[in-house]
Amino acid sequence: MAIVYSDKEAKLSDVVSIQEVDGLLEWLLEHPDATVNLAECQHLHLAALQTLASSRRTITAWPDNESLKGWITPLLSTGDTPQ
Amino acid sequence: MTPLLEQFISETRDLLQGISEQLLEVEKSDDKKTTLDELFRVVHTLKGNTGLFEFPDLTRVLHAGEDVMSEARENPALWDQALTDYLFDAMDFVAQFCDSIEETDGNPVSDSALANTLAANLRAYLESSSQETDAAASEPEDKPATKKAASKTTAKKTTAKKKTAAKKTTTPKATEKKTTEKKTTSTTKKAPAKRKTTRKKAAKRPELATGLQPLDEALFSVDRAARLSAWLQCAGHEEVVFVEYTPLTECFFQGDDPLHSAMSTPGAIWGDLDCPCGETALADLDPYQCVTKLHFISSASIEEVEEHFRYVPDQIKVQDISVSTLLAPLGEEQNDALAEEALTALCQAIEARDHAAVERDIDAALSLMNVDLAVANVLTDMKRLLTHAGIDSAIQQIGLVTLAHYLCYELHAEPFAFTEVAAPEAPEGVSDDAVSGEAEQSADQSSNSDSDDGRENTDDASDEQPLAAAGLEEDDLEAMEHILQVQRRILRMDSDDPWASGRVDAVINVLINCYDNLELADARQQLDVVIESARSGDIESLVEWIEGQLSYVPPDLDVSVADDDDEDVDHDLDDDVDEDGSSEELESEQKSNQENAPASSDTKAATSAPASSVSKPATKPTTTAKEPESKSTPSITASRSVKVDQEKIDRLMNLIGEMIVAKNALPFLAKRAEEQHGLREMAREIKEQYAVVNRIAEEMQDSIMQIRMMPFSFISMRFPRLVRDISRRLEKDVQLIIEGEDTEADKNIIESLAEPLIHIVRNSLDHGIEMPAVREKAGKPAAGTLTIRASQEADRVMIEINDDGKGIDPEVIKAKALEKGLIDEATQQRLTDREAVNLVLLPGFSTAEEVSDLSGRGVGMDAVRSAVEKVNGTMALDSETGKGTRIRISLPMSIAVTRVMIVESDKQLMGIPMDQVLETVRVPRSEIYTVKHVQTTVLRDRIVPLKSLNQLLALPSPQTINEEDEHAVLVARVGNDVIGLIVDDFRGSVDIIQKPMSGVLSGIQAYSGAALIGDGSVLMVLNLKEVL
Repeated sequence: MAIVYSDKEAKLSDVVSIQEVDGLLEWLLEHPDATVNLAECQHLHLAALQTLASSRRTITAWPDNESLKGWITPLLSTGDTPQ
Repeated sequence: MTPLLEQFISETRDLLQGISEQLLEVEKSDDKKTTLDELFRVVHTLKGNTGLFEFPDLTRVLHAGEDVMSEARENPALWDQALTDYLFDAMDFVAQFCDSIEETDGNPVSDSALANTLAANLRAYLESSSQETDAAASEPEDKPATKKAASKTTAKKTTAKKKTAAKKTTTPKATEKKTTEKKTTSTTKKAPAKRKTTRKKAAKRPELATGLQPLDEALFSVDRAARLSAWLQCAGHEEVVFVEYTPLTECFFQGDDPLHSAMSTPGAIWGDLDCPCGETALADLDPYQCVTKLHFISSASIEEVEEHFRYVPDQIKVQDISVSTLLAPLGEEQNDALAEEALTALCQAIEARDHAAVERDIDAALSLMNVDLAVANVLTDMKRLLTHAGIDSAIQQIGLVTLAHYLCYELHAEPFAFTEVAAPEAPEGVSDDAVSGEAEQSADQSSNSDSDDGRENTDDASDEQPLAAAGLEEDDLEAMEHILQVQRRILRMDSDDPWASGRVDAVINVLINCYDNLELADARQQLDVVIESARSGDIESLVEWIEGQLSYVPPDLDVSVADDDDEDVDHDLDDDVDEDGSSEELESEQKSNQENAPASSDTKAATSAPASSVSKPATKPTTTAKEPESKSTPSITASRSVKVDQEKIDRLMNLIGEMIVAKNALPFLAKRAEEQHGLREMAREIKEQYAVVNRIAEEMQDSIMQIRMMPFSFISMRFPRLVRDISRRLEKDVQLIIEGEDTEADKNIIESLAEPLIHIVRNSLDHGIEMPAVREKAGKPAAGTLTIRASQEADRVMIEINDDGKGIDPEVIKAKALEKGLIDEATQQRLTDREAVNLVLLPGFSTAEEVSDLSGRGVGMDAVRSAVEKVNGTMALDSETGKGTRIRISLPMSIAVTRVMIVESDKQLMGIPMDQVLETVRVPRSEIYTVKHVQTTVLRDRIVPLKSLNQLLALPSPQTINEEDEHAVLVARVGNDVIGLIVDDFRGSVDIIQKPMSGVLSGIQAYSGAALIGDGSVLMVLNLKEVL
């Protein structure tokens, strides 16, 4: 599983494929106040990213992978300043 | 067979149809180029599809076909009939291959030898043509690529060169750029820093002028902050590729991960996602719909990026951009937004790298300003740059200087002379002086109205110019040649345009600036002379002078179609295709720019620059935009139509049939409520409800019938090819006219027509239309005409097939019929010519003396007739010897619903198809006479034989009569006879969905089918022909 869910946080790691999207969406809906940790995420499918964008959750940690971070940060930042 | 393969076969058949239409079109068409483009596109698609499967033979043949068409596209003259034949053969091969796939369930038997021959035939064509046309064209499919690559390298070279060489060339380039070249654009852009002032214009508008607009639009749609971050990431690069990637909404289902594709693009530097998901509530989100647009920048070449996205070429837009473009501001213009002193102070602070002061100035300025202004945008960016953490100070300074230049430009102020900052990775900067000079130059050069202003600037500029010397460097030379070519083409443009004089002014300015900047004094003097005459209207001398300066003069081409003046131009057009720009927008933007620009300051002059190019973008898209359009059309139509299995529609049809039956039960219910339960009120309400349900059900039925409707073109589209093939084989000259192709009828009817019509057409060609020599002798045009006309008459579809051939000789037919024992001699005497001609419809009749491979195999016209009759159609044949033959087929539009008359006999209900019913009458018993054991009556002076339905059906009871001693007689037409059917009573008419009899009942010929009626009982439908 590339996503480990707890009550407070979803921790994404490795490569999050489109198969995880259903679970992620469901979890996000059930946990409206939870946060997302992307630190160990190497890549996530655009469908998952869209889901995260729509959820507007606080990202507690950005990916260690600089390239991925650069791509997704502006979209997932709740504030409007990139990076 | 996998669903994918099934779909492949069905699509392939559609595409083959398209190809054969296009092939025929090409033969006829004057505008071969367009048709060939379309043809190529279809073949290309088909070939691409085959790549999904392991069918090497198929792919080989199609690949050859594609190559030939690609070549033919370049060189339509290559097209001839033999090539069409080869292509037809190839397409037949593909069709057979598809059949084979289907028959063998995915393991086709492939005739490799045939495939090789076909491919070889096509390739042979290719080789011979490429030798003729042009050595470079030898590898046609590689051609565009090579060309592109070539021009690209040239572009790069020029660009690099340019940089060092300096501003002079830059100026002309801007204009040139407008006309076509991306290459030029990039060049201009390339030159660092200072140029920005101009460049901003260059960055923004000239780009547009080149026709690159959509990309630019895309670029400007990128969030300003994102662009700034992109710029930061790109520091050290000068020219990058900007990609806008719009994945299909359903791309996830195709296994795509657009984010991964984008991130793995070679040389990806920076990327941004434009995703509206943030505005969608999570609960409403459909995560499997891709709604994100990706913008990213790569340091790789356009070719590499395109290669990376080769599977989704229509979803990406790729464009070279200069990195500094990323900083170009966007927003409302207001050139007095910032006081001159404030601007100067700001620039000085930047120059002094006094960031605290810069920030203070910016804050002060921003607090007074509308944030939508372009100027405000620049200032905000500056501030972001200042506050950005961990930024290289050199890059920061470059960014600030760049922004300052944009700022000056926006404010229409003189560019501030900054000291140049060497970018850490990009050491080859241009001196500040040079840049500012250049900026002014390009400003004036581009102006065509304020040419005087411009000229002054030019002079200043040339003063500062440190030029190589009299002998031009290779790069300058190349650039000059190019500029001159472009100017020449501009001058060649339609001089009727109202802005033609402005165009000439612009050219003159470009030339003056070029020569001034290159310090070619001698040429400059000559130039002055021709310019004088050009100003007085003698443009020709200027053109000649330009041609004299050129090392070679390209062949004259209409500018609007000029696509191969030289490789670079071609290349650009190709690129333009990527962003099939809306030239109107472009134009209007340019115009508004012009209007906005106040008329006195000289920077503003630059704003009007695009004016000279206005005409160009306007014309160019006519050639270039075509391709993307045609590319996009199929995808649009594809998404608007659905392919549905016929079974599903049949099911719908059955359901609506049941619905109608169920609904028809309501009146019975109402009747019962009233009569048995005395609920009159209830009965009325039920009837009201019935009216509503009835209306809806009828509309529904109508819509479902509509779904089943197919245009006549579905079968008629195969005729052109058929006629072409047959007439070529028979060496006859035949012109086929098809009318009423959009006439619609039920799918079953249309499909049942296909075979008979093909047969009729073959007959007409084989027996009807004579050889050209015979025709001429008979005083007819050598080319025969075959007309197939479909039309709608009430609820029937009429198909008429006319030929102007030799017609059918009734005497020959009669003799033949007698010989074959189809008629006896008495009949032979009695038959009218018309009736005789219709004898060909009898089974076993064939007039052809010899059996050919086309017709006369004994299947005859009777096969046609029975096919037509099977769907309740009728056909008639008229012929006039020497003049031609006409066959008329009349078919019901739909076979799904039949209207029947319900009659009662021996307490049973029976249906009689309404189209056979002539009238219903009550005949007094006293008026029934028995003549020769046959009951008859006289109806309106006509003797009508009467038959009792009970007798016919062997029902024991006699027909009942009513109180007035009258029989109920239904007068029907059966074949050509009119007959009166005595029944017990009439029950009105009703629409039914007739079901064929099945099981043991299917052997009973007296009934054609059965249907349910409203009260739930079964109604048998009589087949009168059999009953009688």
